Amino acid sequence: MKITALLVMKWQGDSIDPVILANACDVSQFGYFQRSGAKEFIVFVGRTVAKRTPPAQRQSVQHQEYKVHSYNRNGLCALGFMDDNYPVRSAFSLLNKVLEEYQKNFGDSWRNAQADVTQPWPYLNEALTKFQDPAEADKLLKIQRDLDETKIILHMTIDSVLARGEKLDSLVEKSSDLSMASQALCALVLLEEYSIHCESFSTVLVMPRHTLAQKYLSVDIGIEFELLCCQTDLIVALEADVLQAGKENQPVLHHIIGLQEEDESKGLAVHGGNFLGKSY
Amino acid sequence: MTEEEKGVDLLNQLEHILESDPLIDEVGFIHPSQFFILNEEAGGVLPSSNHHLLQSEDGISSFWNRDHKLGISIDILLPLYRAAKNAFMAAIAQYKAHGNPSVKEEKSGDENISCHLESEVMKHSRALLLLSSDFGTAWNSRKLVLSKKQDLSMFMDEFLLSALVLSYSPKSEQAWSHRRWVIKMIAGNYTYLQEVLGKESELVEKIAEKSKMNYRAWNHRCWLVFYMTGEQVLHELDKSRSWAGLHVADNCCFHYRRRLMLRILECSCYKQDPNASSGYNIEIYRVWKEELDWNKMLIERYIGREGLWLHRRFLSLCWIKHFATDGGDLSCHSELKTDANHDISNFLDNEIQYVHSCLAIPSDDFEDVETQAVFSATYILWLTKQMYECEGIELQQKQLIRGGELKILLKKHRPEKSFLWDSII
Repeated sequence: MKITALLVMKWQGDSIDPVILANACDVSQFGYFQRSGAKEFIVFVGRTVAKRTPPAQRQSVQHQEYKVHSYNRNGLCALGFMDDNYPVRSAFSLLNKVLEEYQKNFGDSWRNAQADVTQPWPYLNEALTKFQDPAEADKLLKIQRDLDETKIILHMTIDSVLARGEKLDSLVEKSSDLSMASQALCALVLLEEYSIHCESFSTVLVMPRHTLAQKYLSVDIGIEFELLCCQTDLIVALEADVLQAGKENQPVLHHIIGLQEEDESKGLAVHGGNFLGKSY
Repeated sequence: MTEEEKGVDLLNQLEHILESDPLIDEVGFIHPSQFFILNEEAGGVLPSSNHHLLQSEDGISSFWNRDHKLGISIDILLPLYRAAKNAFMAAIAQYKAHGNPSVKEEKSGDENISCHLESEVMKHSRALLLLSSDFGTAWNSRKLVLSKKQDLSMFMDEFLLSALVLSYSPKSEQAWSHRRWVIKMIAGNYTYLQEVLGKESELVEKIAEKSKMNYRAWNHRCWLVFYMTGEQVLHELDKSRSWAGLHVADNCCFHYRRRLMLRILECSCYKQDPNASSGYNIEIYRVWKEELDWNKMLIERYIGREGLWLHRRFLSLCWIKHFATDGGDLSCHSELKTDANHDISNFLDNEIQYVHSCLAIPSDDFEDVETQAVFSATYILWLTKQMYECEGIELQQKQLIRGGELKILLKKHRPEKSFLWDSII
């Protein structure tokens, strides 16, 4: 059972974005090139969820195969990114303990924090490693018999945490936590939530439309494209292997496509079928 | 430079990198803005003798190679892919046109040409597969070349290449099935095989850690079981236990354990000689008991996990079918006679008692206690139905009475299936 990250944040229920007080991450399970993106993503999701966890509330948000657990106690908020194997009760016991330790060590000084704290907090890093062991988590449970009576709210997707009218991809775009590269990665992650087709394609590449501004679509005649998703600003397209017989067979070659930005009139929302475009 | 020439240039660069660094173990596709970050993290740009950042003429960063990792910029993917595909298709066409290197005409010129064509095919297919993991024709062309050469070290290289492809595309069925093809080809070579099987198992575990719900990886691991000996299977069961204990939400690993255990049963059936096999049988009995106890421990620690209960169904049913007897012929298994759990009725009693203890835990905020109760109730129902239908074993009266309790519980927590509960209980 894995804890990917533990965060402590300050959010007092107002419109100011939560401030990070401590951050411990373990991204070793990600591929070499995905690690920095993963860290950024953790910060982004952490801030988004913390901002929507009112004081004295506990909630768990399911995101793909991870669960983000969040507990806000009087403005001091602890978050844990754990996998499905981690028992929920142990997760909240751990978050409780983290908050207690933080108060012990730092008292109330956090109330004045205005900017993200970058210095690591050794206790948090140790806790990250120590509590991956279920035996340790068990011990924690025995001590923490008296968790507060508040109920835990479980959300099945990040979207359900957002207020009505808010969209995750617009938050992604506005966020300063994510670099360009991560925004592209984020888009991929969002796409997987919306599309059931991803399983059958070995590689999917996604780029936000605004980065494709200067590129052009080059299509060889006879190759089928499937536009999987025209989700606000995301375009994904996959090229089927022409040499493989039948669409049902194992797909696919991956691909990258560029789009001519001005050509909105062409209406690129094509689902399946052939797309014959100009070649450049 | 035209687009095509640029593409060919990129392809040459890629192939050069692959040649010069045969230990590359991971491939990734990176956004152009990441080059800067990667360089920073790697401790600044190194002196030029240590090229790890390759650029094309117009200063666009294309490749990043350091610490045996290869990064390819997504900006250059399209021209690179086109060039690789064209080069590969040309190479394979030439190779096939040249025909089989026949035995009768051993002209040295001919051999050189066919060697050259082979290496072209291998070189280009490798580059292509790093860009497109499911390009069946490329995989098959490699199989074609290899089946003609029958060279063990080349077969081993295939493992390296497919592992590289799996690093960026862990669910690629073509890559997994290529590995199976290679294993079948080297199956004749016993010493290598055992080692290879061990490594394959470890690779799957590593990949399953990074990419969850990877059915294809686990499927591959299950396929390997067929090639394992009885001792190796026991060893695997033991080795994979700790991983399974940390990943209780992943049913695949328990499914794998069931596959191993079925193989153990198969292996024991083939051993005709009772004296020789009794040692193995005792071992199996011990392993089974251990698995049951371990499963119970996990169920208690991780409350409300369906996968664990399903595993228990398998274990209990097999236990009743193969190991528990009603006191019949135990002549050659004297050590087992003393074990009180050895008869069916006792076993069942214990299970029912355990289920009822699960039902008795008071509910709290976490909801998983209720789920645990439901799973335990359905477990015991299933078990008793199976025993009745398969073994013709009927429950004693006292066990039936408690069925009423189960019904109430199930109707309360799973009311949508109340018709089902009414008809079964």
